[in-house]
Amino acid sequence: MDDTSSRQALYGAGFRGDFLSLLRAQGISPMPALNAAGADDALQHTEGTTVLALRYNGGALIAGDRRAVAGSAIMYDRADKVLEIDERSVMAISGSPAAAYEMARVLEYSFRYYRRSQLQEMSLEGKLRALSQLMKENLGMALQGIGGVLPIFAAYDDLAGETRLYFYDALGAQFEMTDFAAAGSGSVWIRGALYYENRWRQRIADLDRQAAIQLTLRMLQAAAHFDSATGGGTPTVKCLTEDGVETLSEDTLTEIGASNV
Amino acid sequence: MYDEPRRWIQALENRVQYVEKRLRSGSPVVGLPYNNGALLFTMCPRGQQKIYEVYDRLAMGGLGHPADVERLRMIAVNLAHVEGFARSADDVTLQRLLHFTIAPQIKQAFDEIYRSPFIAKCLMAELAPKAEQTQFFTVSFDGNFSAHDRFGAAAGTHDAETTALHAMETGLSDSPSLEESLRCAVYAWGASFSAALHGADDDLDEEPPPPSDEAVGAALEKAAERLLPEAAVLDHTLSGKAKYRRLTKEELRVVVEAADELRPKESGKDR
Repeated sequence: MDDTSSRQALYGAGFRGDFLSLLRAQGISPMPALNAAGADDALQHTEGTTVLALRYNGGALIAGDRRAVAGSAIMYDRADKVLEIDERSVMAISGSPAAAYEMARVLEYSFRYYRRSQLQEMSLEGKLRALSQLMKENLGMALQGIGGVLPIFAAYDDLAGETRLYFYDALGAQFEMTDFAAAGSGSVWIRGALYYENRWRQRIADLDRQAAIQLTLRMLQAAAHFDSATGGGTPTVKCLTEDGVETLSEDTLTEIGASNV
Repeated sequence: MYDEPRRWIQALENRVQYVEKRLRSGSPVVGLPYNNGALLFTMCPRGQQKIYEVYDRLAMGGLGHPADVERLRMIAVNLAHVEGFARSADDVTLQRLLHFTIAPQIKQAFDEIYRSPFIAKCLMAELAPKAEQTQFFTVSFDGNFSAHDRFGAAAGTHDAETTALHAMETGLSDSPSLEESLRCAVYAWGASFSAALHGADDDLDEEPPPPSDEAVGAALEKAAERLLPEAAVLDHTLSGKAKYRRLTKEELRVVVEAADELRPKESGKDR
């Protein structure tokens, strides 16, 4: 694109708040799909994780462990897999960190750009579509087995006045989960436990905040017990309510963890 | 017909007169500090908006033709987001946006006499990590811009801007609360609007005399007939990355009170 037309694109108001179109008009393409021929079987990519989200009485908790691995090697124990996208939404990522972080960044910019250019918030439906679109763009990477991302998306629905949880498959289809969602290599070990808790012990939706945090920490510990790719430092736990997103401090988590987990 | 230098200069002079005339009665925008950040204030026709969020720590207010203010706004918003995404939010500064893209664009539109110029002026505010470093930039229709450390104003005439700056410099304490700043903003807006409406042509060498309290009150009363107060803050105590917040109707009530206090006594009795 020559200088003049890129300038016109930059200054034209024809993007309807679409940040991806704006980037493309500037010759920036986030998440470029790799050519299949370029994939290297020997490439050791970092993945393996446990992220989960649940809806308790008053909001939603979104949590994740801190470990990043490549094969059986532990690469990093301070990874942050629970990302605040805006004041109304949080994404927890499992899978390829490179693609996932880029996705989160594009989403964050997309929502803010929409709000600032269109002078209104993007609807929840619009936000879900935006993530779905990014998942589709990432399909090439996912199919090659090096850039797959399976996110959990939690958002506060202003119209309904409640939080909502969504789980995405690798192709970008979204599924709303009513009580809880879990993803990553460690999630297989705790999904059954969460189901049991919710079905026969106490409905997760009835738990108060403290009990919900306790359950979350227990689940992450259970996952870490069985899954070598789950673990690391104090988990990240974010709380999404009507008032916005709150990141629970390490002290709070240590305190609850020490007495109850 | 404009190929001779003399005619080109003449055309530009005509253009200046035309734009200045169109801007003259525009509603000023004033910017001032308060203890949590920066405040932008203006008066705006019902249903319209003149103060906008640009980026995490950037905001602007404009006067002039709404379509031109909108063009300026979109340039700033687009640039800031592309730059913030490609590099980082810390690299998005008004100094860079203005110097390298916005000002040259406005200047080019102004110089090319077959294109329409921006019939707009704007005040841009940047919240630095430390509140005392807050900067305001006034951007004019010919691409000229100037930076101000503590106060900023964009108004229909040069005198109106000077009047607003003077009113804020003399009327605000060192670390004002939001309410104090709002009260000062209302007065500065009234003084500026009065200067724009009643002042003679701009004399750049001479400081305009500050309008009397009665004149400010009268300007505010006249404005209240068709304009509503609008204000937003860049508040560094907000928890997220975005520091912009529009003030609510409740918070703007103090504006109406301040304007009432300044209203000329005679008209007050009539009511």
